[in-house]
Amino acid sequence: MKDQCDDEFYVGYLPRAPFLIGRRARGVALALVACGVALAAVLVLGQERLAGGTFEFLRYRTFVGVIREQPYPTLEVPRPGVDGD
Amino acid sequence: MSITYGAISWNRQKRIYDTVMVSGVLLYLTVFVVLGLVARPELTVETLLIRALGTCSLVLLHVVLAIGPLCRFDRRFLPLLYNRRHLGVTTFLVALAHAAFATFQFHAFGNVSPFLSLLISNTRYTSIPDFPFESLGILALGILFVMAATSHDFWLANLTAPVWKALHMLVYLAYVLVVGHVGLGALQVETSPLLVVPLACGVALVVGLHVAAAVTEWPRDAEPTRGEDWIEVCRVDEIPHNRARIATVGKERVAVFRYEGKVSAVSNVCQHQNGPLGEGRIVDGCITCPWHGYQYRTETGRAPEPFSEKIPTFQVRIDGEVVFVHRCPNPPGTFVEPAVVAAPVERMR
Repeated sequence: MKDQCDDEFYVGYLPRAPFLIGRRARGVALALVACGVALAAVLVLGQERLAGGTFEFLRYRTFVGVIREQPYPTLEVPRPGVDGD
Repeated sequence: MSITYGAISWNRQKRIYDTVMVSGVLLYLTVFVVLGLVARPELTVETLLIRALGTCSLVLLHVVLAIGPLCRFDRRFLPLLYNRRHLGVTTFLVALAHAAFATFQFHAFGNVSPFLSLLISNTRYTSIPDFPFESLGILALGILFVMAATSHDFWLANLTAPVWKALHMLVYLAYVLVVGHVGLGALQVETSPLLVVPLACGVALVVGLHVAAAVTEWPRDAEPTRGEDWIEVCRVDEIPHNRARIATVGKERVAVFRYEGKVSAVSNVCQHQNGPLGEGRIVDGCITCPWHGYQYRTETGRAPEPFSEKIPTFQVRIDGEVVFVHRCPNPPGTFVEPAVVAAPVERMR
């Protein structure tokens, strides 16, 4: 098969790829897309869970804590559910 | 090939290539976001999209970097190389979308400019766990932008091939920066082997393929004979019809082609993107580059009119059945009389 492919020559601007090279390219493209989809599934399932965290876009709440300027502005608040902290 | 500059010189192969590429990217993003919404309901669509775009651009960058060495090993991968620039531009656009969404989500709601916030919100450059990994991503995105912006043949022609090629070698620096961006960023929080192992495998694949390709190419650059004007290259019958044998003459790789009972020698380096002409073929009487199909006449090294590319030619002679090439290249486009293969040798093939 490889020897037969070696007899063919691919030129991208010609209308059609040679048969064996075209077939191999289709196989490689399908394999790449399949690997990409499998990888997407693996990477999304590999993410850490955000325990109790939610993104509250445009929901305003009041917090009491200590503002620290460095290394970047942060409001340190007592850990929820921990008494006397 | 084109003698005028259009935005893109579309042809059937490029349309197929881009259709598969865009479909693959959309499928990846869809699977990531939809599966994420099901398996990680605490994550918002925005967060999933940021992560999907980031990982997608990283996957694309790995494919871009793997195509080159894969083609060194097996010419059946050449169709992937033909339109690699579109893959590179797509990598940049997906990375840009990742950066834009992330900047908006994490820096757009403060009282300073999002871009200023991005640069000054964390300056702990001496800390590994708190390193401002965003800066590495910004640098990588800048390199990818320069490469995408200069990817058209207009820039290749005006910057000259050596400058353009050197500029686009920065993709390796961009890759290092992106790996640093991920390693010092997401992987400082996300420690699952499902994330670490794929990245490690990707790095090993890219590095391994390039090292293997370099090791394979190394012997070709070993000059067989020193100090002589005429360098013995090979026997005539070792060159297949309408193909070439690559040899190192002086300090330059030379492609020695056999065709129509004659032998000619030209530089192995295509003027377009430094493609290996010696791995090409004679098509319609012209040497044809395997990468993008640029063509040159065998005797002169000139592209057929109306094209204007020229490559250096070399004097060549045949003693008995042995091909010799003169070590000094002629100026690009210089006519050289081909060496004629003796009839008995020609009949052997």
